[in-house]
Amino acid sequence: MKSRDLGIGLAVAGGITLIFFFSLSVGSHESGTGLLVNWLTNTSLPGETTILSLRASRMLMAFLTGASLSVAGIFMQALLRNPLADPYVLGLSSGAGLGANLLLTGFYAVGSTFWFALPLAAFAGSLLSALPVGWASIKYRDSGGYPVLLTGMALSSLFTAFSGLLIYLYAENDSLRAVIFWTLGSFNKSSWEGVSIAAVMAILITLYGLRVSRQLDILLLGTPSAHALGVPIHRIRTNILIICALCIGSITAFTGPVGFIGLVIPHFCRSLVGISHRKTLILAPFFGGAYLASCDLLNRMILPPAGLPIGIITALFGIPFFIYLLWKEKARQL
Amino acid sequence: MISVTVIDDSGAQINLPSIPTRVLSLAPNITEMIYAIGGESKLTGVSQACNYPAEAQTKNTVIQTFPETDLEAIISLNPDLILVTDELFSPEIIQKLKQSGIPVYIQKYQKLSDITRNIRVLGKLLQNENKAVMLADSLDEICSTIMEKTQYEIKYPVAFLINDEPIMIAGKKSFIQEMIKLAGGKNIGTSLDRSYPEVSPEFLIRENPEFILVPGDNVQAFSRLVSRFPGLFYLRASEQKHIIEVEADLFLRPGPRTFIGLIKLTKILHAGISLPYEI
Repeated sequence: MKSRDLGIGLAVAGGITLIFFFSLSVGSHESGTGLLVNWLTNTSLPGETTILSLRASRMLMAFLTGASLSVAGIFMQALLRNPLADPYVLGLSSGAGLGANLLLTGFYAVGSTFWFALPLAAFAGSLLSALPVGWASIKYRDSGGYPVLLTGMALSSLFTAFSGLLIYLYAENDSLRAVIFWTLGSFNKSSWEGVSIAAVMAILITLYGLRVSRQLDILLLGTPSAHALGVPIHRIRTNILIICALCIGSITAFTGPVGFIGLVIPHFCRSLVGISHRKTLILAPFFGGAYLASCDLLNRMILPPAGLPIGIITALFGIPFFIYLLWKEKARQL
Repeated sequence: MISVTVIDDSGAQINLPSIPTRVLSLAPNITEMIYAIGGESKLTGVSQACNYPAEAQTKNTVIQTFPETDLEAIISLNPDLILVTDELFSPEIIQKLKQSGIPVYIQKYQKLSDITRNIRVLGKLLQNENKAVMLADSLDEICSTIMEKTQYEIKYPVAFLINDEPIMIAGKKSFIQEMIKLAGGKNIGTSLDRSYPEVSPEFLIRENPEFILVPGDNVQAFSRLVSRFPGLFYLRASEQKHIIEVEADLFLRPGPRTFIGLIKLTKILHAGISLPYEI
């Protein structure tokens, strides 16, 4: 078992190295190792370092987003004891979207003056969704998570409708472009500020996960058993929801909504290393980061120069998988 | 070497260490104006939307700006000035371009006078001032001549039909509003506080326009509308055979050709007026 884990670890590390290498080598300026070699040997031409920095920030943003979303997915699934839970499905992303759109349309000047205003607004929006979802997860704790999932989906539609309303009402203002671009979701405009915030969030959510990994294992046994074994369920639940809202909100503020990563990745990780939360929580951020970074890389390679909005790509992969999981889950219950 | 500091339409200060010679124009109307003032030798790249004059696409590097802006291509051209309009780009993209150390000049177009004002600005930036001032002066003069000639004419109600499904017309915040007013008409969308608002068929019947203008890239808009709502056949414009096709770019792209559109529109609305312009 140990050597198998080591093998998986090495494979993921190798994969990440390859993806990083290709992400830095592919682009519309010049595809190949030239830029990278010039930079390493300190012989970059003017502009080349800037281009490399563009590629690096885009790649890191994709990686960190994938990592955080995967961990958030694991949290949601443990909380609801349902493999279909994910921050996007539960409405955290569209809540963040509404928060960001409100800021962009109503307080455009604030948003463009203070760089932290947008992540903060998105966090607040995320909480709008996390709080009712958390409440439902307590009230319907023993119903397999479906009432909670449906609550999340309904809220997600509601927030998307509100965002649509904002676009309609303010469709003529300066901020329109910002809103529309934001709603599509993209890594093309990743900045180093965004990358540093995403890095803090990814580390925060992963470390917290590792800290409570034992309790998460026990949560899977059901609320009564968890109570019996002395797991402070309410506190963990609250902490998890707040950390997820904070993470998803502030990252979504920079990238726009990216869906279904939190669904696909935890599932694959569990199939590789089993249901132990400690192992999945170590593997998932790297695996999820690599997955999203390679999605973005493929996206740029297939549709050069800048690719499609990434949310479209992840939905194309994620939604069929969601339906597959849903039907499998249903079959198991019958 | 002269160092110039200018302030763009977003209020940002822009430092130009020398006269720009590698200019990137990422908006079709700006490209058009650069050609009109003879500044094309300083152009090095344009966006995929810059299709007038046709040689703009063949003599410059073409950069993708939609659906995503190709930032790498922009930086690898090593431009010394980027010209954009505020409505075509998200603030994050503009921010990223600025961070890469390239001066970005943002232009805003909200009224006809913005066109001539920005032609003069471009003349200063690209050192084509004489030609730019001459062009801007003559365009301003077209405006004042037409205003003078049309001021006592009957103001017919006019609709500019952008699209038939949904029905969209030019509203209060569009350039077309100002053009129709100058040309001696009354835009039926003048009460609608948007650029291109959606309206109902009833609205068209109530306002009963004397002229309906349809853009050339959507000529069938009115006939399709009539086949859906046959009652619209009895609009005055339809009865009088005043459904008139106009070239879209002359009305929808704020640039020098907008004034050609203005002259044409005046001739359409008031055939009796003699204007000292041959078009």
